[in-house]
Amino acid sequence: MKKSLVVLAAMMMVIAMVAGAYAAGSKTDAIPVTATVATNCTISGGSIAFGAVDAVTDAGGKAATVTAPTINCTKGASIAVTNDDGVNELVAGAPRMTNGTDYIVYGVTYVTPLTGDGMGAAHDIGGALTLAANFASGALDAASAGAYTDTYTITITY
Amino acid sequence: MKKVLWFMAAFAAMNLMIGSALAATLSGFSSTALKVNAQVMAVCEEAQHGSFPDPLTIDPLVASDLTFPHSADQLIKCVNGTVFTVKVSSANGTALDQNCTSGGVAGMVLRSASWPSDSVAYTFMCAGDTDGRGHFTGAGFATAKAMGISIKILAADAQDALAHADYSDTVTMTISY
Repeated sequence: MKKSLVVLAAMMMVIAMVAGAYAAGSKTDAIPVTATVATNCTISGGSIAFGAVDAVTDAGGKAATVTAPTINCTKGASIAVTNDDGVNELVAGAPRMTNGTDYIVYGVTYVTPLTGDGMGAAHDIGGALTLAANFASGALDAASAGAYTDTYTITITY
Repeated sequence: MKKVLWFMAAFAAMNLMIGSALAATLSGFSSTALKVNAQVMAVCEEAQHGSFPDPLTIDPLVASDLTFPHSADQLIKCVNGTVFTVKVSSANGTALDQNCTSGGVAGMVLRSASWPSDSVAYTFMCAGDTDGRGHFTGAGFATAKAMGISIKILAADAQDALAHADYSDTVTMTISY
């Protein structure tokens, strides 16, 4: 009786294996792949240098030598550019350099908005900012001799 | 059942709209601080050329010193706060790069063109001198600084002067800053 049960069980296993082999086929499944590219930007560097100036040579005003900041933004992103008028402003839109006693008013211009071109050095859009700075005629009239500085912050919002 | 389906559809639509709105919202900002600098150099320039009445009339009969004020003062514009020195030289006298003070510079000489041996000594003064050493302080390029120039001839020198109509001298003023 025991042998019969063993044989029966073995037969059932073989049948099950054969049945399994005969059930093989193909199925496809589409696995969804998604990603969201977030808008992001970086900005760094940049400087505005008027260099050596004097009230005679530069009586009519002078343009600064500007180094544009490096700006990288997600391709196609619209970027608004704003500034803080420097740290010595007295009147909005009129940033000032100071030597601690006297002030020199200067002006800064740039393009806004910008459009992102992607990341990496090849996609730097700092040049598109067209950053420029100058001081006007008479700006040095009351300025004493010495070193003048300011910190002018540019913010990009995206 | 229909109501439930309609509600679910509306809910899904709302989610979609909110999602779009969030996607359009500005997502961040970044800043850079630019250093701005300038070096203002000390500089001066003449704003007005000084001059005296032409001619100065010297009366040998005077009993006291003759003082001739300028007809146009010498004006200098200098960077605000810059201390500058004015020195004076006389073409006919011995004064050479003497500090121009309110006390006056001696060694100045008027000489006759037709009789070069005839001369009249005088003193050249800068009343705008701030410290008696020929020092002046710039008031910026919007405000010219007056030197306060004048000429004084001592009574004794006027009394000794020979009559000529062609006494002259050239005064050279040098500004150092």
